Amino acid sequence: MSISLNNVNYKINNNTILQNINLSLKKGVYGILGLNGAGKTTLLNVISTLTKPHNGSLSYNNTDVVKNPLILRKDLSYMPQNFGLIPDLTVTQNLMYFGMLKGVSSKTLKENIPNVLEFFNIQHTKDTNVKNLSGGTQQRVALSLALVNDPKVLILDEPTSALDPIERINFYELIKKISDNSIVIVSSHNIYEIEKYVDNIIVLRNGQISFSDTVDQLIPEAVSGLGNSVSENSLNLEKAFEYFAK
Amino acid sequence: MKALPLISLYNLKLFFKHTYFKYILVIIMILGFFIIPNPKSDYVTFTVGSYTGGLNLVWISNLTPVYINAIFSLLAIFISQNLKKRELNNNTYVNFRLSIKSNFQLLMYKVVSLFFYLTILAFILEIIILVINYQSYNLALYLVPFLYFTVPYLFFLASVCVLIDYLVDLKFLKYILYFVFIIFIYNTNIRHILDITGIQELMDNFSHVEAKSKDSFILGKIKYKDVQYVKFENFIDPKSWLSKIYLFPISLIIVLLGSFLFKRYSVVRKTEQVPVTTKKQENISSVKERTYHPIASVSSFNLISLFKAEFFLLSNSISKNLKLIALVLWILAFFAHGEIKTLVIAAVFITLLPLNQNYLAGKYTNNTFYAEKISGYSALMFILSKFLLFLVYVVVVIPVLDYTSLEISLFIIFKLLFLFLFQLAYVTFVKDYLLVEIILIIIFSSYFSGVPVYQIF
Repeated sequence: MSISLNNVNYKINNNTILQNINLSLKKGVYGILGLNGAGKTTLLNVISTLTKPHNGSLSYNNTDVVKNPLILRKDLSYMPQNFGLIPDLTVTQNLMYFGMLKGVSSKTLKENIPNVLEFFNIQHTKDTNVKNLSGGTQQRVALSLALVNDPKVLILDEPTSALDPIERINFYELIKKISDNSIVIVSSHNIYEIEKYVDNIIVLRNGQISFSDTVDQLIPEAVSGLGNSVSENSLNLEKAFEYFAK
Repeated sequence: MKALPLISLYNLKLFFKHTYFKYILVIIMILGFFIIPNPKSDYVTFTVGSYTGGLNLVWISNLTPVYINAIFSLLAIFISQNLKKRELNNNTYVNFRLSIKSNFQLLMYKVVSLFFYLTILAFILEIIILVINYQSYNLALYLVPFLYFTVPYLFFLASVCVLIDYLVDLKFLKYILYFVFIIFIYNTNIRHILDITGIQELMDNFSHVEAKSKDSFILGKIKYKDVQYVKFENFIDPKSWLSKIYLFPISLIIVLLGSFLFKRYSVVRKTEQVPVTTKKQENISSVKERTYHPIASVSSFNLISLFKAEFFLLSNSISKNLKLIALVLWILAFFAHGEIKTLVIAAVFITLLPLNQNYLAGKYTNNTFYAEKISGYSALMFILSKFLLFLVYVVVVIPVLDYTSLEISLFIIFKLLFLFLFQLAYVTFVKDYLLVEIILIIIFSSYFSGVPVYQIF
């Protein structure tokens, strides 16, 4: 199972948002980091086939996804930043409808929904309209939705922004487990939050990849980039991230 | 009230920046071309009996503001729809709620900005009509009827529309109130006393014409009608400026009364609050203890499974209460006769209006289109599945289908198909549903009243 991006470029009104993106993603958790406006959401949109790249190629299991997006879409789950839920429907109704759009039968959904709601500790909200839930609970509903079809490719745009610390730990423990059989891509602003759980980090700077490797390599590579002026001991993760992001 | 102009101007700017503005402008320009027909045209837009005004300066300057009032009655409802909801969605309503200003002041800011917006649009329409039907560019001749008929009415209209939008959350009730408002201003008896829109004054100008019926007027196209043209020599002499200026203080009083009912500090009802059942201790102990074992899902992306998903969304797009009301009305339609039957069917259609908001346009208004776009189903399959809504329409008209004539039954279904395609196309291209709902209300009202759409005023 793999996703490959080769020389992917994306522009909006002559403004380059993504430039020469080359990535090869296999089973595991990938953290996409970057400052505001670095292109994280656009990159996730391109990988999830929501946005077509202007040039370059995107493939899933060696099949061109730009031409045949359905190949990837059948295995995909995507959680947008704004959660993407229908406010006038209840939690269960949202999970049922979007679950069916993901190709899951209503019977399987009925069996899976209580399980996933219980995991995120929101079983008591199942009959509540989404519009009446707090931001944190809405995010947990959106995460439940992302997992309800047992996806092979899971893309999550800032999935823990509204979660409390306990739910964050629970969530990352879960995606770590899911990544044994799936490709999980998570975007975040906070390196400390994801460093324990991701296998690889991709740092974006002005639409370009400035770093793509394991977390362990972040500090050594930053030191090597900065030259002899700093030592590994004097640099922490945050400073190293800043070096690649700014 | 010092800050009123500034806040109102900001709100006004938002109106102009809204996506609707360009569509409204297009609609206004199109109307500008057709409101006052050329004598060679095969249609008229205002008659009393079989008489209408001849094309001269007096007629154009008198008719235009009265027509603007009629058009803007609907346009204002469209523009003011969901002002509050939009603020809630943009998370700017919190500023409104926490403001130190009084309810009256806050509502007046909205009223004034909507009034300015409507007045500017109305003036654009006035100018378009003036240019298209060139008689004289003496603006003063057009300005007096505009100031007399249109400006006070637009202030009154803005007040009513803002109040309804901010005070009433229940959509169904909102539509009923709009309907009652339109009936109120155009009702024959009320018109004779108050003449809010100026139609009665315009009709009174036909007093020297011996028409069989002086109490009916028409907006729209009439083919093959033998119309006699009356040449008007004098501008409408305002009965009294007070007869229109009174709308300003009346509007202020209405907003003041409404401000007492306006509860901006509490939007979540107690019954809607989610019970807090989780405890801190439970949360802490639950870390790493909870496990999720998904059931291996068998993915199927065929048309039948998509139909099931769409049917699920369709059936949950209107509340249980509305579904029950629609069902009861629908059953009654089988036993009703004549006008009652027509009324009942129109009522069933109106109860089904939320389908537009939640089923057809929901993916755009709720930002959930991504789910459809990255779903494993093709776009064509989604279009096919939307035909479910058309099937609902067909089922609704079953009580009125003429089973003795296949042709008539097919004709009714064909008209519904057209209506459905219009809805689908509008929602897909404009990515909203408001105009569709207003058009559907007009069509259903027309159906209910038995008056063709072009004569509903």
